[in-house]
Amino acid sequence: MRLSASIVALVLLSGLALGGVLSITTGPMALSMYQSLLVPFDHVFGWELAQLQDYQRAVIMEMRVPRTLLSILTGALLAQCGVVMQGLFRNPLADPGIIGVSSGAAVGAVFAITLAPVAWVEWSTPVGAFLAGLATTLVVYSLARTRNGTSVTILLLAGVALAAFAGAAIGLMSYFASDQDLRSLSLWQMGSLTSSSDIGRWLGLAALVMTAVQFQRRALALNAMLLGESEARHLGINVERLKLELILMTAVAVGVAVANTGVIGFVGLVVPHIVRMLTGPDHRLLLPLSAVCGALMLLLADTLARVLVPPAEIPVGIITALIGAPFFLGLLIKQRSLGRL
Amino acid sequence: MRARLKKNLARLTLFLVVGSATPAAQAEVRRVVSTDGATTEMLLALGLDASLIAVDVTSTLPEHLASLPSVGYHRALSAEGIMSLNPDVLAGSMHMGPTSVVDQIRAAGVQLIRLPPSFDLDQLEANIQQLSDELNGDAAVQAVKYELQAQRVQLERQALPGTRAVFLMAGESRLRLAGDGTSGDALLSLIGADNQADFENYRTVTAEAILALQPDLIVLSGESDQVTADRLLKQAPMLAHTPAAQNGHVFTVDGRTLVSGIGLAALREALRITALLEDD
Repeated sequence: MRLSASIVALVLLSGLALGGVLSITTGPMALSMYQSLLVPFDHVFGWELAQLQDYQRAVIMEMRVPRTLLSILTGALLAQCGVVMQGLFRNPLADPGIIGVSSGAAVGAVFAITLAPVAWVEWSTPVGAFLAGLATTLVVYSLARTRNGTSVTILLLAGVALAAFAGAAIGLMSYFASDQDLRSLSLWQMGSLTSSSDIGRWLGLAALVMTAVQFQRRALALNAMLLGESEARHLGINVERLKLELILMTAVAVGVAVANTGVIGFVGLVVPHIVRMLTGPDHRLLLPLSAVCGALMLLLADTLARVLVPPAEIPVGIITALIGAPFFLGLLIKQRSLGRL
Repeated sequence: MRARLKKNLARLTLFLVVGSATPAAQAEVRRVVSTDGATTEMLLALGLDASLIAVDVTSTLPEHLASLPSVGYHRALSAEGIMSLNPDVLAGSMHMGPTSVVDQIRAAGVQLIRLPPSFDLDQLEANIQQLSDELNGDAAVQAVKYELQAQRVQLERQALPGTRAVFLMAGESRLRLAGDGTSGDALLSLIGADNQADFENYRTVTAEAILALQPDLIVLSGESDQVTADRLLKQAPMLAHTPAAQNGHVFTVDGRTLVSGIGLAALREALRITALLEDD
């Protein structure tokens, strides 16, 4: 069921626009759809169109809009990094965590939650997660460097080994952690778009602009990599440099995403596959379309997370896995019946 | 701008007039969301049932309030979810969070009452006093404090100094032993027993380690008294050799009363256990 890219792009973009409207206009607090949609315009242009109380405006501008933006940024970042990792490693199971950045970030977060003074947790957790994620990736990368260049196999295996080691470190820390820390930790690992700071969103935007531009410039090189590493080299691509650059940028981008939201699984793994099934493996289309699709998926998941059990909310990482896994399986079964896999 | 303000003011006035036309008591009642089980117990003891509009997952509620909405877990609150309930007060332990959500709720003009978790009766009494001061529970606070004092005296009378005790979390496949700074430890000191665990927080231990401690009393957290105790002995038959099991001193307390520190219900559980021990 290959579709023309422009149709997919149109559908995804209008989906994203609708999703954005839905995210801003729905929530546990019952506000008129039309009125709540006016508030962001009022805010930007200084109009006075919406007839809402101040606290209702605050709900839109301080709770819903920041979450909407963070969902879009994070979803797009994770999906793009997923595309790059799957393309670079020519491995359909690769996700942004494959280079150790998520497991490293989790270790950083655990240390920050259990060891840093409570008053610092608000910023020590994201900073710890980001730095540890980056450091882990660098370790994985340097382990994989051989005389004959970077070995993808060693990179993958080192990533797996470090993830196992990180799991053990987290287990050890949680064994000694207090009950309160333990709950914070398990919630962090389920992901949430609740706590977002201005600086976190700006960093997310910067990371998205960086990856969107830089990944797109390397889209043709990634296409060549699909043929195989030596084929790409013969086509004149500096494969070693490409690997280093893409891994570093992915580590930074995923590090920023994880620091903002905790661990949100499945978006980076599933979205590239969905888009690839719809439009094919050309990275020039795959990258931007996956970004839009990832943003849409996380936006819808977060909206569901907020409205399913009001006034409480479900961690968004649970929703992405609950929706993502069956949806992905459905696509696989459909592909199988068409004889494409 | 000014016209709009006028319109809104008119609307507000209308709302106030209509609002005050409903029974007079309504105006006095402040809408309280409780984010932790111990706080909910104190609010109910202070007779503030009518104020309570939502609770968290750790609160146990009497029949007539069973339909109150749940705001989820107290460290993962949802700002808009809570604001949609239009509360006046958000009350709970200091651990409520995440910080950004609590800040947003405060910024929206909701009064916050954040109590330190109580690990002894003095702190519990201070928390009751603070809740009463902030929520006008004056009518009931003296009675509650009087009862607390009576229970304290009774506990001291029934206390069993020198009893070697351990507190276990049951219901999982592992044995988790309560060390210093845990609610389980606080419960044991209420009973007057001597917690044999010499570490902080909860730790997973082997049955052998518990046997080595030779406890005269094993307190379990669980749901139903006899079932939990039987299951423990089935799961770790070695524990049958402890003095506690041989003398029938394996008791279960309701784990929901010990979520963060000692509350009024935990105090009742402590009294129940000292009474059981005294019967022997």
